[in-house]
Amino acid sequence: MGVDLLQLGVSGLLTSQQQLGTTGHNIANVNTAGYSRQSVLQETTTPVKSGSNFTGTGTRVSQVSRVFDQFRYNEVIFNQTLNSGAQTTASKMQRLDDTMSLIGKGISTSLNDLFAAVNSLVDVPGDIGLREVMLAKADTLSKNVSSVQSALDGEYNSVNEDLEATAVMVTEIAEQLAALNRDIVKASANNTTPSDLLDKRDTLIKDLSQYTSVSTVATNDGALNVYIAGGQTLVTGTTKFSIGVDAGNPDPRQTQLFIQSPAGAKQQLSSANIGGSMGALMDYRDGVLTDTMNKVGQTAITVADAFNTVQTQGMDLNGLQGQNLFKDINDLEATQRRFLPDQDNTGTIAGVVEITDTNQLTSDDYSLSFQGGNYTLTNDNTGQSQILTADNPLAAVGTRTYSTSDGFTFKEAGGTPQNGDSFIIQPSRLGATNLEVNLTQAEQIAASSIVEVYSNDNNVNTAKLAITSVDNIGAAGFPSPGSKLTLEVFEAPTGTFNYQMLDSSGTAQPLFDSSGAALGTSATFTTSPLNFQAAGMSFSLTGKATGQTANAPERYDIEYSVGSGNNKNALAMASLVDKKMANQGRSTMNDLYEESVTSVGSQTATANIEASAANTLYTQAEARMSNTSGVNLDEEASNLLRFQQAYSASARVISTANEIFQTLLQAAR
Amino acid sequence: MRVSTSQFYLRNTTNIIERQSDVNQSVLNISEGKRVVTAGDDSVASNSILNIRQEQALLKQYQTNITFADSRINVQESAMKSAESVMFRVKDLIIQGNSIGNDDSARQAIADELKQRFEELVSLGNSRDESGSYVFGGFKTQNPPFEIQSDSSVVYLGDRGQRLTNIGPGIQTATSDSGDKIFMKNQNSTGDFRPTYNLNASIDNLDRAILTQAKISDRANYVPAGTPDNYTIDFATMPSGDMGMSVKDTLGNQVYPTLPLLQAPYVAGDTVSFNGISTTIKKTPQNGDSITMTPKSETDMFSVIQDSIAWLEKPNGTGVDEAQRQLEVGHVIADIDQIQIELGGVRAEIGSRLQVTESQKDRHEDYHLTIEKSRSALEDLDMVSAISIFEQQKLSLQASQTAFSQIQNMSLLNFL
Repeated sequence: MGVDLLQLGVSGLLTSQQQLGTTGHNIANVNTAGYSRQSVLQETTTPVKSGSNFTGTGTRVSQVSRVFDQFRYNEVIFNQTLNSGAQTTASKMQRLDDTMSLIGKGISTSLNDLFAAVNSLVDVPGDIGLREVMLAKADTLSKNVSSVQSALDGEYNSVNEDLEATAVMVTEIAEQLAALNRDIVKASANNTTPSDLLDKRDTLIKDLSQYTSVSTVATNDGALNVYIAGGQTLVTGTTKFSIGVDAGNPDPRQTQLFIQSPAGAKQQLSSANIGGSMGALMDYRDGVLTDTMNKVGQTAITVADAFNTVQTQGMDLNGLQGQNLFKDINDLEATQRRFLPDQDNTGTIAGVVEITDTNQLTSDDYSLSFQGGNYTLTNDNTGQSQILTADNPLAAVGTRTYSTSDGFTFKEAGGTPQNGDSFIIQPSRLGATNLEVNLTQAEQIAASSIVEVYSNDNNVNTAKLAITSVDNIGAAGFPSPGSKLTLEVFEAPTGTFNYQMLDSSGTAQPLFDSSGAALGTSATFTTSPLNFQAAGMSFSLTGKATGQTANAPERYDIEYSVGSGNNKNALAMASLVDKKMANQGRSTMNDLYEESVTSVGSQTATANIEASAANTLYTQAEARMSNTSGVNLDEEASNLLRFQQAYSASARVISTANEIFQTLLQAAR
Repeated sequence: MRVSTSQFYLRNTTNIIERQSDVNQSVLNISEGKRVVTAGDDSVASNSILNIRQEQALLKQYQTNITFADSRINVQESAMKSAESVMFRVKDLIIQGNSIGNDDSARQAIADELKQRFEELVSLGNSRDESGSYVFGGFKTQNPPFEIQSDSSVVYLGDRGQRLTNIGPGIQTATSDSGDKIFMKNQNSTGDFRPTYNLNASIDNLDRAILTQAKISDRANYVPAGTPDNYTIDFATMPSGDMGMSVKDTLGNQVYPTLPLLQAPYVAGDTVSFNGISTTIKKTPQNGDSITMTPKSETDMFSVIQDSIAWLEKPNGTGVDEAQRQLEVGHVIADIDQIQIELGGVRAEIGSRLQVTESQKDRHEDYHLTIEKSRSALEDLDMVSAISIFEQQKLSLQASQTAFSQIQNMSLLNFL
């Protein structure tokens, strides 16, 4: 058998056509996202044997395949998850940083303004105008704190909304993936490669990898099983799962992601494994955002408590003992909202959490669990736990109180706990929402102290008597205008100090030690300082008040001192500005807020660095992927020339065959 | 290396965007004049910046407080200065009155001026500051603290309160003194007891003994014998012819000299002590004279002036009466001297308060400057380097744009 030149030319022509077509497809899809360039594999057709030789019979297209490197693709997917997480964190942190640094500036400024107003009251304590200014400044402070708080709240809600929207998106992707799996399995039935469908599926997987970590396993029939969030099945063959958001437990605002099988079984996703933007959102919400809210709350609680405490130590212009400047930090609603029982608890115990010492208070959240008759308190941040002991173990269950070393007291408020019950305690979370000015009249600012100590001129020692707190102005013997108390102290014998508190008529008043135990009307002490209580006040006597025998003891007059010119309590308020009153005496109230700003700032800087590193890695992976699979127009142009020439040449073969045939016909004529 | 077309465009676009972003950041920093705008820009520096700003806010507050304090202290100081000159004038007048002979009308004229001075001193005690508060009322600043009673005595209606203000970290200064302390609690010039003299009327001699000091010097051993705890010092010529003295307490028991001695010789100027009290008597007692000491450790400026007026309005006497008058004027002048010493002391104290505020003010200014330097170094932009960086970034943006626009023209397809 001879060579069929015409057939040969036609095979070349058809192949070139196919190649030109694929080149055109490549050029047309130069900007299609996720498109992998395709190439035509050409092979010779089966040769024919003529005698001892084989003669070629032309060419044919063996395969149109996409240029795709699975390893590089996997690299892109992996880095996409990391990068998307890092970018999400960075952009969220950037917003938080702006909120704290720019909006939050108002907190520091208005706190300083409030102190400026207090200081002008120190100068003229009776001035109504200045008092009005101070109330207005306190109100500005509370507004600034609440504007930061509502910005943070908005941020919290927007994270929750983002999570919900993402869950919907992921569920849609799962549906599309399942559909594509079905199409691909069908199309691959004859051992063919549906390149464009594969591209589409790979693009969807890449999209998915933004939201969460993804791993895939290919099956023999061409389907792809998809697992997310560290191994949870999302798609297997044509079966798809869905993702949703549930209210959190015990804190309903702390929403949780779950994955649900078609049969309806729910499985909660742990934020540690989710990865991608969803993981970043949850980490951000439950980490720095919550922490920042707690810190702002801690600041607000500390400020309110400090001012309120000083207020109660003074007397206002109406002649009444000072009332809280800001809303009570332990009003019933606030104390209830700090305590959240788990919805799955079998017990019925209710509780309140009262803040007792802002100096010991932290910005952490706590878990409380009940087991074997005991409550165990765990600090969620440090992981330290302690078994609480009741202050009143003899009280009935449901009415016991448990004080902690962290500045708050947990009080049962009815019901009974059951083994395995758990609770969350958030002492400072809502502090900022509670910072509201309580006073309504300028006269109510307690600028005046109630009582003052005056040392007798004949005293021979430098010992000082200070009133540490006024506990009960209605107590018997409490000084009033024209009726003072006098503390007499003398040393006899050496090392033993005798003291008694006399009223104006010389009657000795009952004395109590610092814990309230009665000491009688005269008592002795040996070590300084002496802390004691009498007539509704707590005192501290520092230094050695030796006196000169019982005939001439050291004398300290405690006089009623209320007056419109008395600035002592305003001064105590002004002195709060640099008093280290929080974090175990390490921070002033302004420090507290600054610490939260700085902490956000440093985490923002870290997030930016991580985002930039993740972006570089992702961009490089993407570039490697694109360098393999992407279309290069110059290359396609050169292919166009090549295949066009091959086409022309094949056509020439046909025309040659034609010429040969004509020659033969003419020869036979 | 093979580069896909979309990658080529992407990379070039990314390049240009990055350059643009750099330029944008530079423009932002240059227009703000700050290197650190939010805490995230440089969290370490930001912490220091926030601390410094807070420190500066505090310093500003202290400076304001110092201005307030200075003005309060100065108001008080000027009232004190006037009070001091009133007391000088009082002393002048009383010395003048003492030197006038037997001319009642001239003495009355002096007494009239003293009454004016008395009014002046009361009104000084009732000084007000610009906010309308009474300077010397202690904490009771709404009403006049000094009130003249019908018997011309003055009562103090304020309290002992002293206002303080913060002028530095942990440093407070007083911005007021109570009128009680300045006008009402003046030390009795003779100490803790005030003498009255019972002179032997049968002796005309003007030279009589004067009790210059009667003070509780040993409080541990001072036990009042009765209320009031009066003591009587009797002078009588001893059998030896020397002048002798003895002291009895309010119950009539002899406390000096120790029994069985009934009399001790009198030595002018010697200190005689009994029952924890030490007394000094000077000049010459006459037989039968006695001095009664009544407890009184404090006097007030107003009653001293009233005493002066009463003394001036008494007619000149002869003999024993004149001797009595001379003793009285001696005590009045001693009281005025004592008051002047105390006024001087308070004014010195006020002066030292002003010095403290002054030195605190300087310290705050210095410190403010020092930390302002650090703040500026941390937060503010170095304009020269910022602008040179900006120029570099601009150049590099231009270069990227030019390169891109030139290369993107080069496509094989253009040659087909």
